[in-house]
Amino acid sequence: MKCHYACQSPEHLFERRKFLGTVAGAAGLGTMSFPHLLGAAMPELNASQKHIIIVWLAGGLSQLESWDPKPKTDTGGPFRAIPTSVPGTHISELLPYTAKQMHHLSIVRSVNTKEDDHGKGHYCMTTGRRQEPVADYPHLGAVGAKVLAPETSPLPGHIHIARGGGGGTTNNAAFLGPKFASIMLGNGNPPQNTARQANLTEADDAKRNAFRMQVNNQFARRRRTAESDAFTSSFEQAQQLMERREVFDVSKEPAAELERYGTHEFGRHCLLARRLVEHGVSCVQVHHSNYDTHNENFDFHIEQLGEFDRTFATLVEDLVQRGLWKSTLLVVMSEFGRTPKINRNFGRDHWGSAWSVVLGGCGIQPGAVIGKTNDNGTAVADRQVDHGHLFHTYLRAVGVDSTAKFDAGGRSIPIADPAAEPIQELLS
Amino acid sequence: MPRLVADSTWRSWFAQAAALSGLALLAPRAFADEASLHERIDVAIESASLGPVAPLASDADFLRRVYLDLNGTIPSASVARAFLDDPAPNKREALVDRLLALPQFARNMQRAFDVMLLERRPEKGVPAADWQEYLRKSFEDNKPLDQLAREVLSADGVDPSMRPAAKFYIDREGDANLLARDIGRLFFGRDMQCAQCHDHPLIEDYLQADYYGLMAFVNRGVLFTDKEKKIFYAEKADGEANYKSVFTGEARDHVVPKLPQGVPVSEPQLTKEEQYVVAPDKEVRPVPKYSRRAQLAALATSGTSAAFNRNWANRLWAQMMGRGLAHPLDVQHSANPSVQSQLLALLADELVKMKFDAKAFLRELALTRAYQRSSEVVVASEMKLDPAAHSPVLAAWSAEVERLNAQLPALKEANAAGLLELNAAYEKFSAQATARDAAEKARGEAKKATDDLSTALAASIKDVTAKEDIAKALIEARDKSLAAAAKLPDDKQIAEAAAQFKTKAEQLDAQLPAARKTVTDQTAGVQAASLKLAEADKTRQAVTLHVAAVRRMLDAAEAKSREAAETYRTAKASQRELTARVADAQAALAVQPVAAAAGVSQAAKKTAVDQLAALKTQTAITPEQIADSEQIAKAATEKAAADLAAVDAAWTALVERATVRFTLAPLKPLSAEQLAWATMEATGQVDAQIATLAPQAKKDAEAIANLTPEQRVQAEARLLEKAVDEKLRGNIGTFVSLFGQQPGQAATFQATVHQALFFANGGMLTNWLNPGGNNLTERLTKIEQPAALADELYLSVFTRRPTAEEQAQVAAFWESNKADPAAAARELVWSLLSSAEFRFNH
Repeated sequence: MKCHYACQSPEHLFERRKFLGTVAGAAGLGTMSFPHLLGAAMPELNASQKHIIIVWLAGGLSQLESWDPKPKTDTGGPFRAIPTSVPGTHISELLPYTAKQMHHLSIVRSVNTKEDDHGKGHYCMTTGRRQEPVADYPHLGAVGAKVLAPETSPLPGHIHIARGGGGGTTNNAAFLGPKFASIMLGNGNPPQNTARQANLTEADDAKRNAFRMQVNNQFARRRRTAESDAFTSSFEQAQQLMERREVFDVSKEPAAELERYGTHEFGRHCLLARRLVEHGVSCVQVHHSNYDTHNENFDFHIEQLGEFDRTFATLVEDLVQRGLWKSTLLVVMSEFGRTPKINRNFGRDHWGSAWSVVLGGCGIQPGAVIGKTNDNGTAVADRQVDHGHLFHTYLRAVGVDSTAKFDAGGRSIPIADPAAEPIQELLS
Repeated sequence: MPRLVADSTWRSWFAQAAALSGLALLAPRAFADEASLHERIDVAIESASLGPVAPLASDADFLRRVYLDLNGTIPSASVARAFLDDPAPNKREALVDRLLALPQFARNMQRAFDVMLLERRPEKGVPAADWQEYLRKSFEDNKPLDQLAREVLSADGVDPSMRPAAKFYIDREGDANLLARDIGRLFFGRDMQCAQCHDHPLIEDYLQADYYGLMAFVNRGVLFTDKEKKIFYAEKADGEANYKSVFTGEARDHVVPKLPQGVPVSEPQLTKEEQYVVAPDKEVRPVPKYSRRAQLAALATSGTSAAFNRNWANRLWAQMMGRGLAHPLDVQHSANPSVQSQLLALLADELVKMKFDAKAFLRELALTRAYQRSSEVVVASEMKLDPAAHSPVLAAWSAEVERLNAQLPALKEANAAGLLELNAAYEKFSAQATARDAAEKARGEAKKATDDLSTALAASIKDVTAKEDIAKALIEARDKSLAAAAKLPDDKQIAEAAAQFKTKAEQLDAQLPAARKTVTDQTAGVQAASLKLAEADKTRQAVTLHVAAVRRMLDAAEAKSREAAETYRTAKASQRELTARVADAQAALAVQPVAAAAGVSQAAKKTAVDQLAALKTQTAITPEQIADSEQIAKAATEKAAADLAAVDAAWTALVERATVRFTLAPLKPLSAEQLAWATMEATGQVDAQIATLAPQAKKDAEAIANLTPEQRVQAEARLLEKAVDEKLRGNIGTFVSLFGQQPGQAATFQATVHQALFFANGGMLTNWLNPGGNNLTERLTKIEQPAALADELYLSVFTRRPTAEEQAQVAAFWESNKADPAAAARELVWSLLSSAEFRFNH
């Protein structure tokens, strides 16, 4: 007996949106094993289009030469503290431009991650969890790309910009899968494989894609699944991404803009970050290297922050002026801070016990200072927090219920460490 | 009634259902004892589902599928042609046997097991190449799976020939929790990680006690690095898998190692002195006399661990069928039962009977209709859909669900009671085990005291003996000097000397009693300490005996609890399984009425729309009448759309469930490795290497002495496969980085824009597609007839001949791009490679 169902009708076969709708609604999505966010948060998130920019000061910025100066103490070093645009809040004199933007930003001065190792500190700060062998957790940017980026966005949701980035993919998405792993953009390099091969004209590319779709349609008549649809649409996304390749090209920005940000690498990278966010990329991390100042801490901070200060202040100012501040969370972090004790090489060493993180935008309470360290910065004196609290805070700032869970192939995994909670004072 | 059930493991409801359904499939032949496994599988699959059963796949689909599943790649165009044109009726079986005999089979199993067991973790300690060769050789020799598992679970990296097997432990840095999790997942199909800190909050079956029972096998393991920086896995003789629940605060110490669903291990009670073959020390790898890890390896692979046997049957099934009978593969428990637990139990038993012969087992799977079914929805319409005919079957299933529902509360209670008793028994055991630790400690202290005192006594005795010796000499000297002084009364010096000897002798004599007393005292002390030590020995012995006694009580409580748990879980799993089966059957039976309703509403819509159109052509018509008619047409259109959507939903659910029940073949995404090799095969990279490397392989095979001609052919094939693999394996990394899972994660499908970009613009693929070296593009450009060209193209990439429609499409493309045939050929190949038909195993 041959049965004739609606499935054999063209409506059933080719009305893709409807098909996907029913698949997504059906119980037992056995074959769709990639994780999705449980609970009600998801649809609302997709609509809100929030962004995260992480400025990663690699090696460990000294809190004493930046956000939590202790002048005229045994640990304070040679620099003065200067007033900022927030009355009563002082930061290091190495950050004069940033000082004028502090009314947009907040400082958390009471971070204690108890972690003095580069790798482990990096893991804590970027995943919100302590590293353990049994479980791997995704980078904040991967989480952001998963929950913030629209499913159909042709642009990658998670981009890191660093020196020498080759435009390839990485391994920081854990159970969220390679789709949300960061791609590394270096100086002016767009993502890998976004340019047509020299021997392929645009017209030929269009022709072969038309033929590909024809072939796909023929196969879809035999069978289609959510996975096969995701596969075919990834090629359409690739086409769109290629068309928007200039998004990754910072040289398309006016020369005056480049000048404002600084003609050095970090300046270009921050401008690129702004450009990416403006074009809808969800999560961008910009690296600035290197703050691991075991020797000559003070000279190095003059040099590094000299580069950082104006660029960063310009980025904040731009995001505010361009109306992106409300939808963009900006975080400045390192793997840890630096020891109050100055070593014999005029350096400061690794220090996870009492240091600072700066953040702003996306409804983070502006101009706040959370917590404090003691007089010479050797311990947290008030409102101690760690990477877990910060991670909850970032997620809440971009509108994600940080107590929600991911479903990873049947396993339910809390999006942030359930043992920690957000820093409520920062969430306006 | 025909003899329906030969195998007593089949449940009665199944027999009833089968009898009632009266399906021709349930011919007595299929149930005979001598029925082959693949026949028994098919009977089980087909009688447990009332939904559509897809017909067998075409030869072409079967060819591509079985090549990918058994050899990890697609066949060449010439192989495809030969198979499709072969008229032999048994050609599928012959093909399966041929593929299982090829060296590519071992290579494919190597890749599958590498990804399964290491999950693309970064390399540590053991080179990946050694491990991969170990796996390949294991499958080339058709090493039984239980032996492979035993080698992996017991490896420590010391024996050079077994060193690669230690990669499982060493790559995980010997971390006990990670190992407990991964051994649970990969060897027993149970991811109990969430039970590390408390009983699993969502999965009733996963208890913290079970997690630590498994963890206790490996928590004495440590990585040991020798002076040459070589890493080994080592084991200590002590260390307990103690835990405390963060929920209830309930704690347990002296956890006895236990396999998932297994019996607690009987362990020798070794005294401290007996624990080690090689005691731990700086730069010394400890070797315990009793190894828990060796127990794990032995018990898991003894054939008696149902969880282990089921896991491997399920994993081999998934390799062929695209998903497990129990799915996900590592989430087996009673609330997520297998779609057919009885079938899975049968497969597990058969795997044991086959002595874990993976090749023979895969062969049976490949021969099933379930494996050979079509994945096409549009032809999956051989449906047994008469609700009247099937209602007795449904009723029987439903009645069984009701019966189980009635039983479950009591069974659940018995399970809880069993656990309570078990906890009480554990507390007693734990107290005695703690007492034994104390006795061992006290005994150690007593031994030390005895030893210390004995040492002191020996020193004192030595002291007294020395003193007595000197005293003796002094007295002799005194007596002799006195005698001399008597003979020389005027010699002052001699008199003085004699006096001195006298004084010294007296002084020493005065010391001796005290020294002798010390000896006496210490002797008494040693005696007392020895008595204490003997006492401590006795206590230790007694407590050890007591531990053994409470351990027997514990074992009895365990056995009782296990039985209650198994009864409860089996009933619960059956209830869930049957409930799902009933729901799926009902959903299948509901499609037809929904479709009929949609047909009616489509017709009604057409009528209403036609009437409206007709009405509008008439002149004597009021606007109200038109409005009414429009209203009717709109309602009919909406109803028709809603009904169509309902059919859509019903059908989609049906397709989904049929796939889960193995009555319709799935679309399986190619693994990163399969995709890489299939792409290289299709584009001609593999053939080019074969052409280059074959002469050397032939020469090398001829150089091997004492081979039969048949062996020589096999040797040549092996040498050639190895040579080609060595040349091309470097290309796999790029595919893995784009299509593989993140390290340490289970493999999942994800389509990413980066993958598409790699296909669209990547240099690697472009090189393969540019004409040259007699690759596919070049071959195509040499073909003049578009029909022949389409034939070669589709056979090379899709392993099938094109349809007439596709031939026409190719011809049209060719015609409009004939200015540059090389480019046209290249883009045609690209289009097919980039399509869903190529990306999925269908």
